[in-house]
Amino acid sequence: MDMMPLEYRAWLGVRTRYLTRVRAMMDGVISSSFSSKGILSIFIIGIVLVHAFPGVVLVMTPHTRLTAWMLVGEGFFGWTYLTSGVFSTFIFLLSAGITSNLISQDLRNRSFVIYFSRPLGVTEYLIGKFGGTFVVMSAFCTLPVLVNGIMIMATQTGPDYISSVRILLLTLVAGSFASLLFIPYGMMLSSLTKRKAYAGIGTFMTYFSLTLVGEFFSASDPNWKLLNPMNVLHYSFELIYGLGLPTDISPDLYVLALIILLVPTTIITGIRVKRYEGAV
Amino acid sequence: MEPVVIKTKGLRVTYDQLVALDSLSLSLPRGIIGLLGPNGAGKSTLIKVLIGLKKPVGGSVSVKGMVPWEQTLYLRDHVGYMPEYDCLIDEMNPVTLVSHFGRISGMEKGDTVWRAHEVLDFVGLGEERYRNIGTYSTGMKQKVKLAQAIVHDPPILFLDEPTEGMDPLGKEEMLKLIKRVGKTGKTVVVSSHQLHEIERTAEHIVILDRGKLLMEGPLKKILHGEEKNIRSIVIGEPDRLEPFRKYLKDTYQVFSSKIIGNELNVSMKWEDTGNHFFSMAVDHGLQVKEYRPHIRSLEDAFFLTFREGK
Repeated sequence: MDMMPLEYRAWLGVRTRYLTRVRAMMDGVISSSFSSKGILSIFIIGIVLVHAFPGVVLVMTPHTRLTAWMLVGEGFFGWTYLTSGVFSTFIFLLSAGITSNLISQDLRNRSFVIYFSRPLGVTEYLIGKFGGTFVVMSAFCTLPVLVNGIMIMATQTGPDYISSVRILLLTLVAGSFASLLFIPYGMMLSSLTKRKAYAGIGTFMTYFSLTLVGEFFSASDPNWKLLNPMNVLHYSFELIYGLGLPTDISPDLYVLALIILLVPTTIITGIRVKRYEGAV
Repeated sequence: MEPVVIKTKGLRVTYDQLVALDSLSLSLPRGIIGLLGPNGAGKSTLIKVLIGLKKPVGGSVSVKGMVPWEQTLYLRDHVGYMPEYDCLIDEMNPVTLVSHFGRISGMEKGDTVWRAHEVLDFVGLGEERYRNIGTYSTGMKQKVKLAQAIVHDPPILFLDEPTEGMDPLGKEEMLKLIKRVGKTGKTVVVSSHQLHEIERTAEHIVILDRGKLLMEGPLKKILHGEEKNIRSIVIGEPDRLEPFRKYLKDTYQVFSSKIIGNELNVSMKWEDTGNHFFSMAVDHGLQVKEYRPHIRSLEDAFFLTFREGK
């Protein structure tokens, strides 16, 4: 005798508001990022190398307050914190790792149709994917730096806590900026290929190649340094903390470098996904 | 009369120069609707228009009183779509996938996991629901596609070729699932070119060809035809059967008649009462062994419609 099949039951819940759907997209990216062994490994190693060690050194070094110089200046024994190559390299690795599968996964599986047959437009789709990546990147670029900042404040010997809090707030801005700067390029590459590996390696190798080329030509003109995304990030930190751009760097070219990293990449990603929305 | 759920008037959809749907006017009631037609008939395009994925160049459309490309987000909360092709995320397991898409369709996070399990139970996915979809057979993937379409309990479902690529047992199971969903009062639009499947499942039929409507109506009406036809077996002495056959042929429109032994098999147009037929047989000294309305198969109706359409 056959078993009685389970009957269909209605769902009697109340539908959430449309903006909440973007949150669902973000949560999807966050949970898939943290369930990836590769990304999790980069994340943990990065936290130890980039944040834990300088954090301990900065806390143990005698200090009267939290200063911008402690975070972005020449550190002790030549060890720098936010402007170190190690920090930038881990940002490149992490952003390449997370963004590699963001859109290429839906291209590969032709799953745009199940997103866009739901109450979700291209803008919400992209904001959700971007937002999720931003949260994961912030967990690496912002949160640990804030924790270190608070630890430094907690162990400061001087009474100027207002100045320390100001630096802490600037750290929040700097961390958020570092978190978002490299997402658009990674998302763009992810929208151009079905293969996660192509998108991930392509993103990292672009940054790596630009670093080499920028440093090679900087001997002839310091502005070539702006070709190196690592330098763009470091100059941005210095601007955010009020230290100003190095005198040999053109502010116009710096703004142009920022625009190139953020604007065309976002537009291309939008066009690509819009095209797929029309083709489902 | 069931209320009209989906209505189109003079609908025209093009892909560049190609006309995908042309002057299509439909009024579809609640229930299971079979959308039939050969490849390229415009079935998938019609579904895409109805869920607001494709905007027509002309005509009007209303789905549950909503215009798909004006109230797109609101409408999509009320529809579920099972696409024709493989579109599931291979790297996810069905529980994660179904609950994720449930949230995007407006379910609270707390509701989605138990609801995902509920619909996966309904479609018949057991412990394998914890395996990644990439390892699934076509039949299992079709079940997950159905589960993601019904997770948010939409009143209207669009199922594009739901049995495509499935083995006979899987097809049978899927058709039963569709029937069970249909019994809950939902409107289920099933696109297919498998006539026998639609005949067993649908209550209302739409036949398209090259973007044009060939036929639309309740399945029963289509199978019985517009006219009242009967099929009968009359028994008696062979020398009495022949005059009776001749009488029927001369007086009525007989489609087919055959005498085998002492039996006359006749299929004919008959608009009078059954009693009249019985008394005619008695008058000829014969007995009616069988008398029933002549029901054609959907396949007959489909091909007849096609021949007439062309």
